[in-house]
Amino acid sequence: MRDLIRSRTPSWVLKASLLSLALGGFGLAGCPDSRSEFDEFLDKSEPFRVVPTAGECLGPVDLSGTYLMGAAVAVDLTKPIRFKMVLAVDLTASTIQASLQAVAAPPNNGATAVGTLVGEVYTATTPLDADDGSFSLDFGSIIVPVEANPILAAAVTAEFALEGCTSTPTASCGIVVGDITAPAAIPLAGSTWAVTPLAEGADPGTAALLVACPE
Amino acid sequence: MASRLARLSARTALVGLFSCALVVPSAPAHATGLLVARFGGEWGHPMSDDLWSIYYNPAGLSLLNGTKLVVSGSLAWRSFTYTRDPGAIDDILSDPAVGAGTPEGDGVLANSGVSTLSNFVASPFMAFGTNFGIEGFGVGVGLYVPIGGQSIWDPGTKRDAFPGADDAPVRWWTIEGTARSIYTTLAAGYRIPALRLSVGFGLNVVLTELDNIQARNVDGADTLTANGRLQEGRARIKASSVDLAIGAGLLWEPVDNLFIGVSYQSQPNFGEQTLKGDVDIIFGGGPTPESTRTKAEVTQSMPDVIRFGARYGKPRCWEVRAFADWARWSVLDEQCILNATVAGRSCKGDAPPGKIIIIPRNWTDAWGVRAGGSWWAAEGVELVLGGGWDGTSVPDEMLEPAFFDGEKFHATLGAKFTLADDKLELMVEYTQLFYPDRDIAARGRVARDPANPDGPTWSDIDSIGLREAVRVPDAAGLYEHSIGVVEIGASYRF
Repeated sequence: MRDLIRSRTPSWVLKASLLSLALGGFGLAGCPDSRSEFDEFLDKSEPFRVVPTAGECLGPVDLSGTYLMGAAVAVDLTKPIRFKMVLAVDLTASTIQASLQAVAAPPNNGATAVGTLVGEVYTATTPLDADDGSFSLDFGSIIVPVEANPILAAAVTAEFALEGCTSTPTASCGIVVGDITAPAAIPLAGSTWAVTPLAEGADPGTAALLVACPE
Repeated sequence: MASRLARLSARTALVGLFSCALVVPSAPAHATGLLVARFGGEWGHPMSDDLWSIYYNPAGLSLLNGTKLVVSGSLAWRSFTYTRDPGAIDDILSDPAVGAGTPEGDGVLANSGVSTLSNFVASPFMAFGTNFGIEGFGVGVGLYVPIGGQSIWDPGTKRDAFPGADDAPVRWWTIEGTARSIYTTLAAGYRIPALRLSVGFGLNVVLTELDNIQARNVDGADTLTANGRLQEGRARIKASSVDLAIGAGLLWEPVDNLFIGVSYQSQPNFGEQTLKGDVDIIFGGGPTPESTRTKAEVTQSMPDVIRFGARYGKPRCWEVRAFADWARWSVLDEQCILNATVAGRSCKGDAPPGKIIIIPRNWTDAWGVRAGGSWWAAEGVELVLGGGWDGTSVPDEMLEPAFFDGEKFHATLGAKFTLADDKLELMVEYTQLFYPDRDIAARGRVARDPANPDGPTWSDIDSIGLREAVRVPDAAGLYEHSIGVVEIGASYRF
C-alpha cells in the first residue's frame, strides 16, 4: 500500500492534501459573537424598557422645607437611596435651592446607625420656571457612601441631577438624570425621585419614603 | 486538476482557520481546569522526542535528529447539559408586581431547568524544528492553544414576559464566550552525551483572550423583575493581554530506551495577568443608553504546570509509557473586572473601588495521570492505546457552567503511519472523555437584610466563604458533560 501511494501520487499533492485535511476542521467551528448577542438583548428588551417622566407641572409653588428624598435607581428600583433634602424656593426670584445629604440605610451601613447622615452635603440652585414650576437641579458629581448604598457594598460616584416640578406645597417629584461614573459607567436614565416632608425628630432612615411621581 | 483541488482545499481550510482565529472546546478540558493540551495525543508527553516536546518538555527537542514540520489538529465534539435547580434561585416572588426577584410560574421556568450545548470545534498545533545538523541538539518554533476554549450555548425557551429567557438559564454565567491562551513558542534542547541527559528551555509569548457575555444584575443576584418591571441585564467583557512564560525540562535515558522526563511550564506572566479591554453593561429596565461601554481591565492567574513520566520499549516494536501532570490551579482565586478609568481601583475588600464584576473561583490544585502503549503491527504502522484520569480543579461550591471542570476518565485508540521512506508520518486517534455527572446542592437562601428575616431573600454565599462584593448566582444543579476528540496530524521530515 505504501509503495502504491508513493508510486502513484506526486509528493507535493500528498503533502497539500494532508495539510488541507489537518486544517479542514477549523472552518467547521462557529465563532462566539458577544457583541451581536449583547445588541440582540438590547433589541428584544426594548419593549420592556420604561422611560419615566417628570409628570405634569402645574405652576410654581413654594415648598420650602425639609424633606426625605427617595431616589429609585434604574439598576434596582426596589432599593431606593435615601437623602435628606432641604429646599428653599424664592418665587420672587423664580429660583429653587436644594441641599442634599445621603442617609445611612441597611444593609451596607455597617457600624453606622441607620438614619445617620453620611458623606458630603451637596447643593444646587437653579431657575424655577415661572409658568409651570419646572426645574432642573444639577448637583454635579456626588458620592453616595457605601453606608447609604442599599444596592451595592460600594461607594458610588455619579453625575447627578433632578428634574421635576413644584407640585404642591409639600411634594415634588420627577426623574433623575445623569450617570453613575464609578464603580462602573451606568446611565441613571429610568431613575425617579420624590420627596415627602421630614417631620422634626423623625428618623430619615426609617421614615416612609416616596420614590416617584404618582402614576 | 489534482493540483487545483489540493490548492483550493488548502486555501479554504486556511480561510476557515483564520476567520475564526484559533478555536478550541470551552474551558472544560481534556486535562484539569482550563488546560486543553492534547496535541500529539498519545505521542504528546514529557518524554517525547518529537516536536510536541516544544510544550510538554523542551528537552525532547534534543532527540529531533533532523528537520521536521508538524501540523495537527484536535477536532472535538462536546455535549453539555446543565439543569439548574429552582432551589438555586435567589428569591421567588408570589406577587410579580411587588419586590425584586423571580416571579412564580413562567419566571421560575425562565430561571431554572435545562440548558444545552452541542459544539464541534477544533484546535491546531503547528511546529517546525531542526537540529541544524548538530547531533543531540534541536530548536523548534510552535503555535498552539494549551489553555482555554470557547462555548456557544443553545437558545432556551422564549417566555413572553422575560426577554432574557431565550438565552437559557445558563445565561447567568455565559451565553457564549471565549477564554483561551494562545502560545507561540521558541524552544531548544541539548543532550549531554556523557550524562545521557537532555536539558531544554522554551520561551512562550502568550496571547490571552477573554470574551464573554452573561446575564447580570448590579448586585450579582439572578433577579428577573423589580416591582413588575424588567430588571435582568447583561454584561459583556472583551479583553486581552500578551505575556511571557517559560518552559523547561529534563529528559534522562539511564539505560537504553528508558526515558524519564520532567518539565515545568510557568504561569503566563509568571503570576497575575492583567487583560485590557472594555465591558458593555446594561442593568435594570430603564431606557437604552447611547453608550453601554466602559474601559475595563481583568486580573486573573493561570497555573504553572509540572509534568513527569517515563517510557520504555523496543524501538519500532513496542513501548509502554506513564506520565502525570500537576497544575497549580489554586492561583485562580478570582477573575476581577475593574473600571480602568477609576484611580485606586482594587479587587480587595468589601467595597472594591472601581469594581464591575468579580467572579469568585477559589479553584484547587489538580492532578492528572495517563498510561498507554504502542505496538508496531507492521513496519511503519504503530498502534496506540491509552487511558487515564484527571481530577477536577473546581470544588462543588465554585462549580458553574462557564468554567466547568469535573473528574474525568479517558480512553484513546489510534495509529501512526510512516510513509515515504520515513519522511512522512500520519497520525490519527480518537479519545473519549467520560465525565461522571456532578449534582450540586443549592446553597440555600437567607434574608437579604438580616434585620428583616421575613423579607426578600438571596442565596447564602456566606456559608461558602464568599464576601458580598463577589456575589454570583447559585449554579446548583445537574451537570452532564462529555467530550470526544479526534486527533489528526501529519509531519514531514526534510
